[in-house]
Amino acid sequence: MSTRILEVRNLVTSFKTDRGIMKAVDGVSFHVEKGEILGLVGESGCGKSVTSQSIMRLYDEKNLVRYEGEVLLEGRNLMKLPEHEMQHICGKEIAIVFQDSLSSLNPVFTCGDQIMEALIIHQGMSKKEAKERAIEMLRLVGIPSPEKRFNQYPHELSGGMRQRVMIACALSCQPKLLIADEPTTALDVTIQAQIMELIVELNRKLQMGVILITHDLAVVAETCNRVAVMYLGQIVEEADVNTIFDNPRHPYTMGLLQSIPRLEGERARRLHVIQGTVPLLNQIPKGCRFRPRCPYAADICQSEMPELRQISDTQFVRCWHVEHIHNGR
Amino acid sequence: MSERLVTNRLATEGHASQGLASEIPVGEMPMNEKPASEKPVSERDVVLQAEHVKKYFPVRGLLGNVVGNVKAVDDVSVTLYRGETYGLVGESGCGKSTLGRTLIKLLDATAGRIVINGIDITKISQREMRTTMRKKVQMIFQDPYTSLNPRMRIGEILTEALVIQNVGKPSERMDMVIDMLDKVGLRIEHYYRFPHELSGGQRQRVGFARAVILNPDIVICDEPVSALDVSVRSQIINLLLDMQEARGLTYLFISHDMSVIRYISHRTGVMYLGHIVEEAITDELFADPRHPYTQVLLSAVPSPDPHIKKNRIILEGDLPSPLNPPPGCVFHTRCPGAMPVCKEAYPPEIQVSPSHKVACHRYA
Ligand SMILES: Nc1ncnc2c1ncn2[C@@H]1O[C@H](COP(=O)(O)OP(=O)(O)OP(=O)(O)O)[C@@H](O)[C@H]1O
Ligand SMILES: Nc1ncnc2c1ncn2[C@@H]1O[C@H](COP(=O)(O)OP(=O)(O)OP(=O)(O)O)[C@@H](O)[C@H]1O
Ligand code: SF4
Ligand code: SF4
Ligand SMILES: [Mg+2]
Ligand SMILES: [Mg+2]
Repeated sequence: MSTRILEVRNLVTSFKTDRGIMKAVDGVSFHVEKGEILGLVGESGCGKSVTSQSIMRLYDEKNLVRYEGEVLLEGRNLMKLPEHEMQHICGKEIAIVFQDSLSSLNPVFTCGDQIMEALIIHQGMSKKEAKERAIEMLRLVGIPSPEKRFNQYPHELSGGMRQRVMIACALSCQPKLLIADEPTTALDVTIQAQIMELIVELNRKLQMGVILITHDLAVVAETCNRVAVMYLGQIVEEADVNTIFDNPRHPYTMGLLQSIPRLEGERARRLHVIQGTVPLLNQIPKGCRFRPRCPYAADICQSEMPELRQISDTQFVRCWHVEHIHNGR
Repeated sequence: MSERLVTNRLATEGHASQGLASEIPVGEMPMNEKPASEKPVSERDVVLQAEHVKKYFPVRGLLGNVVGNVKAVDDVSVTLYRGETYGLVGESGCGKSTLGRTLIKLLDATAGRIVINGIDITKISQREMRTTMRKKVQMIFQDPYTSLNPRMRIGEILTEALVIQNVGKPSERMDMVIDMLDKVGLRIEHYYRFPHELSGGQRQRVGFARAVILNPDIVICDEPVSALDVSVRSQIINLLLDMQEARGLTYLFISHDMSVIRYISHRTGVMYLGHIVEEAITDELFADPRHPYTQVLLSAVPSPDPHIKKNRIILEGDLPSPLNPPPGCVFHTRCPGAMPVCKEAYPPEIQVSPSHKVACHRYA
């Protein structure tokens, strides 16, 4: 158990909206080991970002949100901490990198200043130490002539460079856990390849845990050790990366994998299609949430919600009919 | 207009319209006949021919004088054959959208010839373009939401397209619209919806319906599936394929996603900094990429198979500015195999096979 950095147990995140209470995350459990990259995948709106922001308790707890469940960082339940202690954990022990680096970096401070700030606040470094460390971080993330870049403003850098600065910021305090929320979605493939390589390399070198959030299954296949697939606020399948791709057992995972055009092999005349669309949060179906789109749905799927069940050493599936469904591929 | 008319139709035909395009099971569609681009040259029917097209955007200084040009498209020649999909791939800022817009005169070309159905559109006025050619050449966008009037109902949006282009008799237009909604996998009840009431995939269907209802020859598709989720993306790709089959449409399909390009296009052109640096039949391009940039691009695409470990060619440096492109081969500042000659002269276009050409000194 000692290698478990993060354990999330039965996390529920409900938003108070004018249309009533919306449960964006509904009973999510998973863990991240030291030195491991966990992929969190699923289509838009399934709750990936809400899950990660809930881990850091980033939402307004007075007016907007209600959390249930436990988030254990090396055994300490973050949900029970007073808010000011939480602030100390964010940035120092858990760091997050967002998709949109331009809006996450402060435009009026230089790149160097932003990294130094974290070091001075969280690590209590002197200005001089912080500057040295910041330059070292910029070099670590592969920014050429970091002394020069140190004094540049975010808008003076390309998208790929900015994303590197964000990662340098996030890693400067050597967090135990890095959450990367679509870190490369806005970037070109050649730059995406560099950034992902960087994240994998730093994950190995620093032995930190990583949660990689993405909707790109190919990126997951290349970088993750384990994968959790989300649908409408729940995890529907979780397994090690090879099993997810070789032997997916939830109809949604199977559908997703069949829908992606590939760079290798035969091209079928038509792409596989998952019927229908993701329902809205206030129209969540009873029973299995995937039922209206599932080709294997039966009566029980409509009346009762399946639990996430362990079916092998490394695989968990939320489906009544796992035993009867096999991937056609 | 009568809501009843539509409701009546709904009552009588609602059942038939349940068979959405996207819901036809895999394998039920007939196999496509050979696309035009894979036929021998003599049997091909050219719909668009562009020669040495340039599109420069002037950059003005403080005094309003022109101080330079963004060379967004710089000497591109491309031919589109009837019924084919030509895929245009390349990284952000390389000029894909600008080329697409210039080819159908949404932007005026700075230089070059663009012949569509025998007419050189660089020689006619914007007004003439609008009245005589616009319905033959249509465009769809990445985010259809911004191109759909939020205050108009879907039915009105499609009807307006017909009215502006003077297609169909007023009495027929409603039927044409309802028919088109059905063809793109929307239901009759969507006729009275507003754009914000639709999902991203449904809005893309509306954008596509608005283009195709005018019965065009060419549709420029600018990243039409890039903003969509995996499952919706495959629905829209299938719709594009079905419509092409049914109507013999020609697509210029712009994307930065190599897997989607490979799936959908018959021929593919790779763009870098305003130039098409390689062009081939899609299977040939992916099996045997010749241009160093194409090789870099392909090596960077992740594979959705954890057992495939790619040998990645890492590209050094940033994309140069199109305001000040490098002399000689525009890729020489980042090319892993650049030679002295590459800094001096733009490489000639080499035909490496009848259906495959590349602009690189290595093959000269
Ligand atoms: N602040 C909020 N108030 C109310 N609902 C919210 C809020 N933030 C997110 N949601 C809802 O929670 C659900 C999950 O959203 P989330 O952002 O986690 O999706 P996601 O999986 O990250 O999707 P994407 O791939 O588009 O980023 C959505 O239905 C969203 O509308
Ligand atoms: N109206 C304009 N005025 C000045 N420069 C422009 C204009 N439109 C485009 N450009 C420039 O021309 C170049 C090509 O842009 P274009 O939008 O065609 O690229 P793209 O390949 O479509 O990129 P993306 O994948 O990001 O859509 C860019 O450098 C862009 O900044
Ligand atoms: S429980 Fe039923 S509806 Fe849900 S995924 Fe399994 S078979 Fe499909
Ligand atoms: S012409 Fe020279 S620089 Fe350009 S791609 Fe070929 S080898 Fe590289
Ligand atoms: Mg998100
Ligand atoms: Mg574009």
